[in-house]
Amino acid sequence: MSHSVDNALDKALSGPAFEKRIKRRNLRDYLSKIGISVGGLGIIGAVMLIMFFLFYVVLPLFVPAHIEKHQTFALPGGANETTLYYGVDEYQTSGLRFTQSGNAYGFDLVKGGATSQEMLPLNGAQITSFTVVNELKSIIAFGLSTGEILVAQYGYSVTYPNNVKTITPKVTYPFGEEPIKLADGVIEHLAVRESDSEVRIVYQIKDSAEIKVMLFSKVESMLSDSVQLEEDTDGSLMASLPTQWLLLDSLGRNLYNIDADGKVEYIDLSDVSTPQVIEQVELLQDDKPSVVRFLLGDYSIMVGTEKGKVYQWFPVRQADNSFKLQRIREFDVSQSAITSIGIEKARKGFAVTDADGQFHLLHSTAHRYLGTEQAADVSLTRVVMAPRANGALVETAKGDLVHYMIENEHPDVSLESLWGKVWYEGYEEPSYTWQSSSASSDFEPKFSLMPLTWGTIKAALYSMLFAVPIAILAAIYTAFFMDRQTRQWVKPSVEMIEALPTVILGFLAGLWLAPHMEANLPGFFAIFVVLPLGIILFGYGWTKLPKAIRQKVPVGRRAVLMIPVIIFLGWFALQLSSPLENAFFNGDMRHWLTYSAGIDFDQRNAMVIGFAMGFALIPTIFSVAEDAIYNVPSYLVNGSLALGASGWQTLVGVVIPTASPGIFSAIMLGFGRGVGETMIVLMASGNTPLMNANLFEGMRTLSANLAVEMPEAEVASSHYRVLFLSGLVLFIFTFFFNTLAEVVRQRMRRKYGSL
Amino acid sequence: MSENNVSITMDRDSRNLRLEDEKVAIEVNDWNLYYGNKQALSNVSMKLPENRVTAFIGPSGCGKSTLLRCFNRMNDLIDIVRVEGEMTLHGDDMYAKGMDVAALRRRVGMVFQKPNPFPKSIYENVCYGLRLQGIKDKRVLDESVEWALKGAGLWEEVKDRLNDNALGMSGGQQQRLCIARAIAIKPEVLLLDEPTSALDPISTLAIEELIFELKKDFTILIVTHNMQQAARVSDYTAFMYMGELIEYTDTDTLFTNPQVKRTEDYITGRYG
Repeated sequence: MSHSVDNALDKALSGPAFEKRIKRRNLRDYLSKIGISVGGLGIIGAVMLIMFFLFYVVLPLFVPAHIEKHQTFALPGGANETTLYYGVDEYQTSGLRFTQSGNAYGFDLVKGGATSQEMLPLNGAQITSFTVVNELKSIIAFGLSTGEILVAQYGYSVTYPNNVKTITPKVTYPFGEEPIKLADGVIEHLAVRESDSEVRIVYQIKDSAEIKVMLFSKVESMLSDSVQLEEDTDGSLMASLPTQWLLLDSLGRNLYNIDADGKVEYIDLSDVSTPQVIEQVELLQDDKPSVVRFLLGDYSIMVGTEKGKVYQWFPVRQADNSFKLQRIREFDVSQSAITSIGIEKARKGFAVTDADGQFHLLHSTAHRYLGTEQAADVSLTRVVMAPRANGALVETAKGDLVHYMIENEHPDVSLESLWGKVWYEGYEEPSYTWQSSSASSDFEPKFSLMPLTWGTIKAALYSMLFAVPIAILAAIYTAFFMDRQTRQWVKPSVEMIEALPTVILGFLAGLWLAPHMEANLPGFFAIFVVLPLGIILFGYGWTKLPKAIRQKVPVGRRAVLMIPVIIFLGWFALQLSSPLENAFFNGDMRHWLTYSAGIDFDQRNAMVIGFAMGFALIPTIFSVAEDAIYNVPSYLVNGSLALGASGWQTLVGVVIPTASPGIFSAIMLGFGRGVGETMIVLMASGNTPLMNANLFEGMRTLSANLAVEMPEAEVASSHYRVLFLSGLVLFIFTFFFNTLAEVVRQRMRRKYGSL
Repeated sequence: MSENNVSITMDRDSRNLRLEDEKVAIEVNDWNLYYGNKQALSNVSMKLPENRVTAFIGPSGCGKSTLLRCFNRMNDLIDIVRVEGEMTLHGDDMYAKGMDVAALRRRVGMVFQKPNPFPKSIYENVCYGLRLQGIKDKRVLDESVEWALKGAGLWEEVKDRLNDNALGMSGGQQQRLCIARAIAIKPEVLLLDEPTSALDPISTLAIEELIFELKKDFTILIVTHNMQQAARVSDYTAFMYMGELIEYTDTDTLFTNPQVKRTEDYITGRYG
């Protein structure tokens, strides 16, 4: 009998069927090993790919400009003439050179060389002054020796003769070919601004210190499309400085009369008939200006100097509502004198040429130096940027025109502008500002990540302030004091909160909690006093109850008795709202906060976020901390109790220290989640990128900002890439906090592994 | 049973011990203990002598550990445990209403089967019990730590690394640290719950020698699975079976001339 059993077993453990089974088992082991490895590596790979993609999108922000010489050709019209203005078309195929003699020379930028010549209708007068009226529309104005001005506009026409796209530059005259008579005498200095309804002209006659201002209204002709100018108001002012440059800002309100030493007379033209001198300022010390012009937007004055520096100045509103010219930025561009400054037509970038033949590319807001090229071995006389900032024309002193092709997609972002205080045009002081877009085309985008990062941390910290005490204390109670049966349903119930979609929490917080809290503000603050006091009172009252009643509820399950107590206390605290408001806050706490305490109040504020997001963080923190406390070995607890420790002493002396790394990692995980949380902050924070710690004001977080702006950001624009950068920052944030939590947990495992 | 061959010559008091002559530390009368409806201890009555080592032996589940845990009320931590009877420590009713359990546990120290030092420094482990009593004076703590570590025969090994984590010590050192921790608060009675079952023979020998030293200062109750150990270290031995105290007398008598058949069966290895 036993022999046959042995036989059967021997058979089962040998032979081809057995071999096959073993082979199959090995194969299964091998396949599962491969499968698990692929899965693990796949996850690492996926995270690396996300990282890589983020870096890939972000990296172009920090790449310097790529400048490449396209060609050099002889100056159309010859080197004997002085250039006043260059017009270049959007495709960089043709250009137009306006010269002092009144000629407009057309040229080809593809092949190089002159193509046409045209004489402006000057009726024999000499050009004595020149100004750009509108940089974006290429409107220019010439002051003539006859006291007249001629307004011209550079443009181009696109035709397709023989199916070949041909671009021909042309000159048009928005106010007619007939020069407009301003005065008798030679117009030596001229500044013109036009708006939809009016034209402002500031000029100075030769040998006269008087600066005259004239305001014309635009009158559209009934018969044709042409526009006539009709004189409206005028005024004048005796200049106290000999004029070298006359600059009129974009609105025609501020006039700057600058002399050859860099002294400026800042004149207010709000009232054209009575110009007011606001102040006189020295733009430079121990240096002389060589070029003065506006940056895009005609607000900032760029001053190039003999010593190779460029300074940016603009008027800044003071505390008393007056304006003062202030120096904003300094660019140390070159060793030799600055000879010309050309500006970009869509951004705050600019190009600079110097007397050593170098051509530099810079950006004002980002304070960036983007590139330098040696254009010639002689001084450069003029630089002009192509309309799309993808090229530049540089005129040299020996009569050449150098055409550069430029790749410079993101000059407007630098580490300084992302993380430092930046003084934006029109701002009273340097600030951290996020304002990514606007309707205006000469807008200065404000890409400071500080308010967003700040908002993220603010939201996370306020919600941690709410969540951590509740979650940790609840974890301690559940793990250490609660009996097993109650714990068995309490823990999963709390963890269920985590499954609640945050969009619902955000919705409730924004549309129900926020208005409710605004209406019952003192009540919500009363909760923080009423609830703890009430709970302690209830606990004390409980110990005074007869033992017979108390013993009906098992020790570990007495927490359940607190549920109705807490609900009642919450309700009671809210009922106190109106009486408190009447007693202490003159009937309206919101009003009191704003006007008596001087604290701004928004309905959707950090307090709402603290409650709502705190609620979402509680299960995360609770769950991990509870596990850590529950897993403190019972023999440590017993060891402590056997030494005569009370329950509290054991908790404080042994349980919490032993569980502390777990509790810490629970808090870090909660913080990591708070930093990455999107929907709640998006719906309930108000999304204003503020930078303060005010409990009653909202914030905009990195994640909410991504959700709000990503859909409207133009792909591959600076805005788009900065949004990706903020995503990368968010990624690093959460990565950091989760890693910290994990490292601490690993260390705990090592430290307590021998327990 | 290789320990049979390890020759241990520990001369117990050569005089004849008689329970009746001893001073009583703990007196137990008609002690019953129930886990829910299941009775774990039945009508145990005994007098435990002062400054002697009393061993509790018996097969697994006989209730010896449960009884030991009654002496410092560790069974209170289990919700379903219910006790009846009387237990006094030097005349004080240990289960009296209003009895401060923490204070009782200070008088009755305990060392567990598995070494359980706290994840703190050696120094902090030893003075944990003292700190619980509110002692903050550094000088007092230092002296007590040194005294307790010397008492536990550990001082020479650890005096240079008092601030190292206790978890870095060997198992035998950890158990002696637990003994040091227990005696630091100068209890009247020291409960040892199978203190050597997790240790190697060398460490076991060290602990057994230590027990011999410690009985000068403390009343020692030890639960052990190892009859040889009971025979080696104890003055008196109690044999328990199925929750009952079967035989309780001086160790020599119990091992050489047991009065009850069950005792004899057990010590001769017929069951266990």
